[in-house]
Amino acid sequence: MRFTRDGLLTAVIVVLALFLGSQVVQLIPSPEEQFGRPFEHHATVGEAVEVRTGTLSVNGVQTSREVEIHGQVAATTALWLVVDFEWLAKDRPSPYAASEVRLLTPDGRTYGGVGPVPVACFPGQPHITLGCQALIELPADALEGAVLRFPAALNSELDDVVIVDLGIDAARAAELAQPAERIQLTGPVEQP
Amino acid sequence: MSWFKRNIGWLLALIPALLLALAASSFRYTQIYLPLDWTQPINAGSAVGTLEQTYRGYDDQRRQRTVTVEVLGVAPVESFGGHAAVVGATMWQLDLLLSADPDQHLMHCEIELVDAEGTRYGFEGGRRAADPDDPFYSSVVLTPMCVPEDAPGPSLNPITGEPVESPEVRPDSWELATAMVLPDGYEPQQVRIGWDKPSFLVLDVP
Repeated sequence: MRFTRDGLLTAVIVVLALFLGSQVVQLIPSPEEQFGRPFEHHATVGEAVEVRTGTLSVNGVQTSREVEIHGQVAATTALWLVVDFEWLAKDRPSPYAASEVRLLTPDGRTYGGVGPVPVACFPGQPHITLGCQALIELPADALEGAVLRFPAALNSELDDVVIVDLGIDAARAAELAQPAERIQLTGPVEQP
Repeated sequence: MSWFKRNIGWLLALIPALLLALAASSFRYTQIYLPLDWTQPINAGSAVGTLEQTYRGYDDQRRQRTVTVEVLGVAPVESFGGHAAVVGATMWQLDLLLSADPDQHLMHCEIELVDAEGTRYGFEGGRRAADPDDPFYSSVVLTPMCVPEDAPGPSLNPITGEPVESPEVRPDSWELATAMVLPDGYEPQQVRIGWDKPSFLVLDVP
């Protein structure tokens, strides 16, 4: 076997190309990582964020030990967090799945989901803003530094997600942990 | 002989190979995602049009559907069926004339109004009780049957897939009236009507 100059050069180029390629592949996130990472939009209370299916803004949160809807009262020894938010469907009718709202704490806990009190945010007609409420049962120590997670649609894995910083510091958390009054939940309110 | 000249055959073969790879990897988009949404508009370009499609029913049988729809009129109304529009919105009554053979399965269609910007409006939304004192009012509306109530034509049981015969033979054509709410300042320009995804008719408002 004879080594020619061209042959050696080709071998060096191929090895270099393979090395560069493997370095590039390492820099690119893997498909698995991409699948587990939705498109996050960060916002604060009162800030409207446009996502794929519509525009969402959180007006504020309040707490209570008892919530009332349709004459029925739901009580908890923990806290009910009532999230007031607005939803505006983009270009086609699309309701908002209020039960998909989650509260995430800085230490990695997640609260929310379908609870004993059903909340609805429909129908969601374009150009008609929907005033809605989400309801999350949580302990008082979950409030400080918590953020809310609003997915754009039911299956949020590859979708837009709004992360709303509630701006709850220790003083505000202590205040929210001692709620005084029962909260009357309202159904969705439409404002063209 | 240069490298390109020696390998021209393989380079040419690369073009169809890349096209084939692209086609093969797009099967999920064309075979799964597109058929699951309203992605095949049939633009009539006028107030009347015919929808022709092949679809699969609850019994997994393929069927051919042919139905002609004509928009008779779209006009603002104060109320419809006990519903009125919320403040800041207008209720629009939509009158359609449907024509199809009596053996066609046409129960439950989806109708939307489209404004000049292409925004779609559905049945639900923007509704309040026409009579504020009505204690039994619910803003929830059922999607229209799309067929005469007493002679709906054949259908399939959605759970068992068993055929359900019509109590009476459906007439060759019938009128359908319904209403939708659009915010003030937006007027319906087109009507979308469809039964099974992905095909639907797009008709102009006369």
